Amino acid sequence: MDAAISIDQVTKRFGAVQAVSDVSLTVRSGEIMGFLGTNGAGKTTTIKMLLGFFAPDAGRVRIFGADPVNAAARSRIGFMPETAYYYRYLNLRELLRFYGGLCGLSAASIRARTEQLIPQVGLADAGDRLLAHYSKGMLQRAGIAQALLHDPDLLILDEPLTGLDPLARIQFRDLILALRDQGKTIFFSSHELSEAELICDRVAILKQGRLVWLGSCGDIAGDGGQNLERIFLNLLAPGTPEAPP
Amino acid sequence: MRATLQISAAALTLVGALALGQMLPRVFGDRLPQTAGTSLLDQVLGEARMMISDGMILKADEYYHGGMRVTDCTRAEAHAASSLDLPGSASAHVHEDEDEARPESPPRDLWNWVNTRIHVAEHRHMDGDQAKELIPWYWAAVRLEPRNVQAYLLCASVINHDLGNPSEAIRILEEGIRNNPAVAELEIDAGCIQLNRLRNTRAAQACFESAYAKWAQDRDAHGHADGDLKMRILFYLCHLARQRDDTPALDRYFAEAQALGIRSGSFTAIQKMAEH
Amino acid sequence: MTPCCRQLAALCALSLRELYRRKDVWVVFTLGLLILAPLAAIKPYGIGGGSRHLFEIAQLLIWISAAVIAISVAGRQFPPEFEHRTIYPLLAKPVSRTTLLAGKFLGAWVASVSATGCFYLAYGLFAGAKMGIWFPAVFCQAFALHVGFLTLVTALSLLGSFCFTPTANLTVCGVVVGGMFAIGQRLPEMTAGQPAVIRALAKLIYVAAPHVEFFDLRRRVVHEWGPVGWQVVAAVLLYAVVYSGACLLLAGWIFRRRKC
Repeated sequence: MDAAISIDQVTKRFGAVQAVSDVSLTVRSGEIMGFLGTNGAGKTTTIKMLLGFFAPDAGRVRIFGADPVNAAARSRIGFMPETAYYYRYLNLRELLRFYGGLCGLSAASIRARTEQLIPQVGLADAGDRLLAHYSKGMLQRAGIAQALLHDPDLLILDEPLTGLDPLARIQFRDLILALRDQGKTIFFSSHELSEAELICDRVAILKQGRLVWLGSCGDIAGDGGQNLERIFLNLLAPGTPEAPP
Repeated sequence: MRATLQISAAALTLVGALALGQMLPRVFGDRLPQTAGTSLLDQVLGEARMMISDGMILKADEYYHGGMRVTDCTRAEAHAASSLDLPGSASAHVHEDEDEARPESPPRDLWNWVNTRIHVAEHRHMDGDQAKELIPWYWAAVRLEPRNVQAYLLCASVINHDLGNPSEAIRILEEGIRNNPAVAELEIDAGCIQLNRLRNTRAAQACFESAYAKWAQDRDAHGHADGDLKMRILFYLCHLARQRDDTPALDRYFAEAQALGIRSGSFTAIQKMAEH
Repeated sequence: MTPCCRQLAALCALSLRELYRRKDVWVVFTLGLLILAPLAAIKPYGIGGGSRHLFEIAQLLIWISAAVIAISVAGRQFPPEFEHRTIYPLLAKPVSRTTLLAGKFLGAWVASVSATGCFYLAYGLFAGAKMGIWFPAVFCQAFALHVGFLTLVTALSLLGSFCFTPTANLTVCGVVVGGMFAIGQRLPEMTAGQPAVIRALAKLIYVAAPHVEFFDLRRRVVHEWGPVGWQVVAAVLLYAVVYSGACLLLAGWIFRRRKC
C-alpha cells in the first residue's frame, strides 16, 4: 500500500528547544494513525511540518510522495486545527463557501458539498447561524466540516476531540470510521487515549520530540492485558527511560 | 444581605457625591481653582475660542482666494492697488506678503514637480454673489466667539458690499454692538452703511455720536485712545454737520481734529469741509 | 475561473463581508449624515446658497473615514488570523502564501474602495443637486486619486501589520499618513535652517515616506478649479502602484519567513 505520510529522520529545533528529534514514521493510505504524547512532546510541530508551514532542519517530509510546501500536495490534505475560532461574522455556509473558494472549488461543487457536510457533522440546524454564537463543540464540528470540504485523501486532525461532549465524540468516532471505510487516511493527535485505542489502526507516541513507541492497537490487545493507557504511562511517566521505537 | 449592603453603600456614596458637588461651589466658590464660565463653549474651550474664531476668519479669507492661503501662493499676481485685503472691500489687490512668504529656493525635485501640478498654486478672487460662500464661516466665527469684532465687521462688509443687503448688514452690526457694547468700530461701520447705502442721516448721526461717546469712554478708562479712530468719527460727524449746515458743530469737530495732530487724508477732508 | 482567481475572489468576499457585517461603514456614514444634515439646514443670517463649506466638510469626512477604514481593514487582515488560529486552516489549503497575501490585500483594497465609492457617490449626488453640475472631470480625477491613496495606505497598513501590534500599526500608519498630509510637501523648507543631520534625516523622510498629499484634490473639487492634466494623474497613480508594490513585496518577504 502507498504511503500517505512519510516522515524520514526529521529534526526541528526552535532556538535552544529541540522540538522534534530524528523522527521517522510512515502512515499507510487508508489507515487511522493516532499521534500521542504529552504537552510539548512535538506533536503539533510535526503536524505543522506535514502541512508545509515550515521545513524541517534535517530529514524529509512527504505527503503522497510530494513536498507539502507545494500547494498541489496540500490539495490532498484536510486539516483541522486545535480550537480555532473561525470568523465570527460568518455563518457556517459562508465559512464553507470561503474555504471552498480557497480550495479552488466551483460554486456548484461548494454548494453540493456544503449541503452534504452540514448534516454529516451534526450542524443541520445551525448552518445559517453566525459562528459568533457557536459553542466550542460546534466550532470543532465546523472545523471538521471545513477539513472535509474538498474531499481530501488525507485528514490531519490536531486534538479533534477537545471540547466535544460524549455524544459528539461517538458521532465523531463514527464519522472517522466511515471516512476510513471510504479509503481516507486519518492522522490525528490526541490526549484521549481510550478514544485513540478505539479508533486507531496504529498509534505513535512522542516523548520530548522523539518517537518512543509505534505499534498497532491489535498488538496492544494481545500484549498480556496491556492497554494504551498503561503503555503511555510506562513510557511517559517522569523518570522512565526512553524506549526505542 | 451583603448585596443589599453594597447597593445601599453605593447609593449613599452617590448621594454624598451629588450633595458635595452642589455644596462646594457655593461655599468655596471664590477659592476653587476654576470658576464656571458663562457658557458651555467657554468652559470647554476657554481662551481658545478666540483663536478658533480667528481661524474661521482665515478660512473665509481662503475661500475668498479660491481656497488658497495667500501665503501659500507660489506665483505672485499683479493686482490693482488696495490697502486692505479684506473680502468685500475690493475685488482686486496686491498681496504684499506673497514674496516674503515664498521660500527663497523651492525644492526642485520630482515630488515638488508633482505637488505643483496636483495642487492649486495660484489664487483668484470671489466676486458678486459668490461671496455668500463666506457667510457661514463668519457666522460660525461670531457664534463661537461673540467678542470677535473683526468677524462682525467683515461679515457686515461682505453682506453690504458683495451681496447688496445693507439692512442685514446693519442687523449683524447691531448684534455685534449688543455683544461688544464698548467697541466704537461697529458703530462707525453701522453709521457708514446708514449714511451711504440706506441714506438715513438721522440713524447715521446717532451711530457716529454713539461711536464718539464710546471713544471718549475708552480714553477716560485707559488714559489714551486711538487717534485715527477719532479722526474717522470726526470726519463723518463733520460730513453730517455740513449736510445740515450746522457750522458751530462743524467748527467744533474741526478744532478737535486739529487738536489730534494727525495729518491724514481724513484730516484734509475735514479741513476742506470746515473751510467751505 | 481559474483556481487562483477563485482563491482571490474568496479572500475578497471575506474582507467585504467583514467590513459590512462589522457595521463600521454604516456607523461612519450615519455619523457623516448627522454632522452634515444640521449644517445643511442652517441658513446663516438668512442668507442661503452657500454650500462650499458643506462640500469641504463632507470631503474632509470622506478622507478621514476612508483613511481610517483602509488602515483598520488592512491592519486586521492577518493579526486576527494568528490570534484566532484560523491562519492554520488557511495555510493548510492549497493556496500559496503569495496568493494569500495578494488576496488579503485585494480584499482590504476592494472593501475600502467600495466604502469610499459609496461616500463619493453620495457626495457627487449631493453636490450635483446643489450646483447642477454632475460628476465633473475634476471630481472623477479626485476619486481616481483617492483610489490610489487607498491602494498605498492599504499596502502600508498590511506591511505594518507584520511589523507591529494592531494598535501600534494603527497609530504608526495614522501618524505617517497624517504627518505627510500636514508637512510632507514642506519638509525640506521646514528644516532648511537646521543642523546637517536633521536636514539629512528630513531629506530621507521626504524621499522615502509615502507622499499621500499627491492624492488630495479636495481644494480643486471644493473651489471648482479645473482638472489636473491626466498625465499627472497617471504619474501619481503609478507612484501609488510602485510604492504599494514595494510594501507588498516586503510584506510577502516577512510573511514567507514567518513561522506559524
